[in-house]
Amino acid sequence: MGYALLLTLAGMLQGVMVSLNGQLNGWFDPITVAFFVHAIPTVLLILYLKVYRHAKIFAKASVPAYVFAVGLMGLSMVSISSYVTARIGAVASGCISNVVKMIGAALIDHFGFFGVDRRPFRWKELPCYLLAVAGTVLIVTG
Amino acid sequence: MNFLLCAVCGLINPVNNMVNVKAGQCLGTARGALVNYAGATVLSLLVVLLTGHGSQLFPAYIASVPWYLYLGSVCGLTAMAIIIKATPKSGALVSSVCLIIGSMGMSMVLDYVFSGLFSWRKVVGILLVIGGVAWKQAVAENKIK
Repeated sequence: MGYALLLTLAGMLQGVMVSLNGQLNGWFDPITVAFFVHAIPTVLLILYLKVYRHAKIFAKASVPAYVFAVGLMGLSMVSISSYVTARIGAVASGCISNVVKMIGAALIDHFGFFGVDRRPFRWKELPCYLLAVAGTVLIVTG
Repeated sequence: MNFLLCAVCGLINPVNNMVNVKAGQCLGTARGALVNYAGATVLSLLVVLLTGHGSQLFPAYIASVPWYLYLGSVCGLTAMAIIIKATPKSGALVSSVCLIIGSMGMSMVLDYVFSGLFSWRKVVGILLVIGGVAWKQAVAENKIK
C-alpha cells in the first residue's frame, strides 16, 4: 500500500511537471523550455554524484553509440510536450501520449527492437487498447 | 496538428525509455540519466543560440519568470527516483496504474486551476484510459487468462 501511494505521488509529480512546463511555454520558446527542463536536473545530478555519492561523473564503460541519441529524444519530447500542453491542456496531451506510448511499447515488444525479448502481440490485448483509445477520443472531443 | 505532435511525442517515449534503460545498464542509473539530461542541455543550448533566441537566457529575463515554473523538472527528477525505487517492490501493474492515476488526476486539477478546463466527459475518458492501461498490464502479467 505504501509503495502504491508513493507511485501515485510520483504520477502526481509528473502531472505537475507537464503542467508547469506547459506554462513555461508562455515565457520561452519550446527549445528554451527544453534547455531549462534539462539543465536544472543536470546540475542536481552532478551535485548528487559528487557530493552525496562521492562518485566520478565520467566512468569508463562500453556504451552503444545510440545511447547518446537519448538527449535528442528528451529534447524533442519536452519541446513538443510543453508546446502542445500550452494549447490543448495537460490532460489531453498526457492521455494521447500515454496511449500512443502503450502502442509504441507493444510494437517494440512485438518486433523485439533494442534487443528486448520478442513478445508477439496477442489478440486478447486488443480490447485494452480499444478501451484506452475510446477514453482518449472522449477526452479530445470533450 | 497538436494531436499529431502529441502522438509523435508518445511514439518517441518508449524508444527513449529503452535507450535510457540501456544507458542505465552501461553507466549506472544516475550517470545514465545524466547522459540524457546533459546531452539534451547541450543540444538545446546550441539550438537556442543558433536560432537567435539567446536573449531569453539573459539573467534579468530569467528572473522575471515566476520562480515556481522552473520546478517542473525537479518534480520530474523526483518522480523518476521514486519510480526506480518503488516499482521493483510494487510490481509493474500497480506501478503503471498508480502513475497514470496520479498524473491524470493531477493534470485534471491543474488544467482546471490554471485554465478553467473541466468536463465530466474528460473524467469518463480518463477512467477508460486508466482501465485500458490496467487491463493491458494485467493481461501482460498473465493475471487475466
